[in-house]
Amino acid sequence: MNTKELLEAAYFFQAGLGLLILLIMRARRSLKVFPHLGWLLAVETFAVVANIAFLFFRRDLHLSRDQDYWALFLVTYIAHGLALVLRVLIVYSVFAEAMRPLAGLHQAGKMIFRWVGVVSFLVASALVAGPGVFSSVEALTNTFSRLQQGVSVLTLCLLVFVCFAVRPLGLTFRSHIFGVSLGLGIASTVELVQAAWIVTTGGHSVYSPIYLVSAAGFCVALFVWGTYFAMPEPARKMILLPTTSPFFFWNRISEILGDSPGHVAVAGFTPDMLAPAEIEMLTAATSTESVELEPSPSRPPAPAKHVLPEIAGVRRPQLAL
Amino acid sequence: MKSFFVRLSVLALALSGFAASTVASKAAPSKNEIKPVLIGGVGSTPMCMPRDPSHCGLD
Repeated sequence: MNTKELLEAAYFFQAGLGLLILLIMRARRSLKVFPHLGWLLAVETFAVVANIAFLFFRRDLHLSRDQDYWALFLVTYIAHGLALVLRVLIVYSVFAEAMRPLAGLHQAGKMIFRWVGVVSFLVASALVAGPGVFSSVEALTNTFSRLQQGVSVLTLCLLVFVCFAVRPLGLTFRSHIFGVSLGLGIASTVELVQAAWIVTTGGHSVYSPIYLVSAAGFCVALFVWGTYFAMPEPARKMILLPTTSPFFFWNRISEILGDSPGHVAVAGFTPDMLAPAEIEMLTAATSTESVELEPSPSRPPAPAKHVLPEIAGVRRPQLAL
Repeated sequence: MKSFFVRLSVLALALSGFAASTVASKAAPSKNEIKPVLIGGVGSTPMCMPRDPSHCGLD
């Protein structure tokens, strides 16, 4: 078998595996938890099927070489543009799902993610913007490749985070969140290796062995997803953090951040500002406290917990009604 | 011990990816006039520039 035949077989295998995992996810109801992963698999499988058709069955489709080339170009670019967006959404949803028990960090993380996303997009757009960038196909494809590499690096960062925070988040290495991150990480690494390799002369053919290696790498990622979704997911563990844990500490801080603070009337307060019911309640409370504080010969003094603390030099405020 | 190896493997995977990313960002296309352009996800097909499909080996 030559490389072209091997590549054809690998693409067929990849398309079949993608469909199989979609079916497994549907049967296990995992599509509800990771809908974007389902869409990504559907888009990738569609792109692979299009690749098979345009690369290996051009004559059967009665297409000229130029027509075939442009059809391949457009279908692949549109499909992988969608895949790029979906991968960002998967990274976001995996992060949100992983951080769900820590509400404060979840909220703060989402806010940071959005800000970083918007700022990165604006900076990247400003850097690539220039004459001829959006008018030439070469520049557009280069920009697209750079975007893909950026998303791959982002995915790897997510994988490292999930891997090292797996215990504090109540997860295990058999959790679907870790499986999804691991599969994405494998796909991203293979994609980055492909990006480094493609500039060599070995990458100048559409039937290059590079794509065989890439297809094999993506099949490994598909296999990881398939294994995780086929196996039952262990229940999330109780999250038991030491009080000195940075997760606990920062979660408390994040929960407090953004809350409107309480207010204390320091000056300018007059009884006219109180409602009649409030005046009545305060009067009753003040008279009760006065009775409790006055020692009675027939009654032992109240336990210390019922007496307001008397601090030297500080008088309890009295309402002058 | 098992989790140590899992973490080590994940770290190795991530480091390989970061290294490949550095190489990819620094690598210049070869002087050949045909310039392949990476497309989409893994296992996808490259496009060849200039727009002569025969240069890509398209059958």
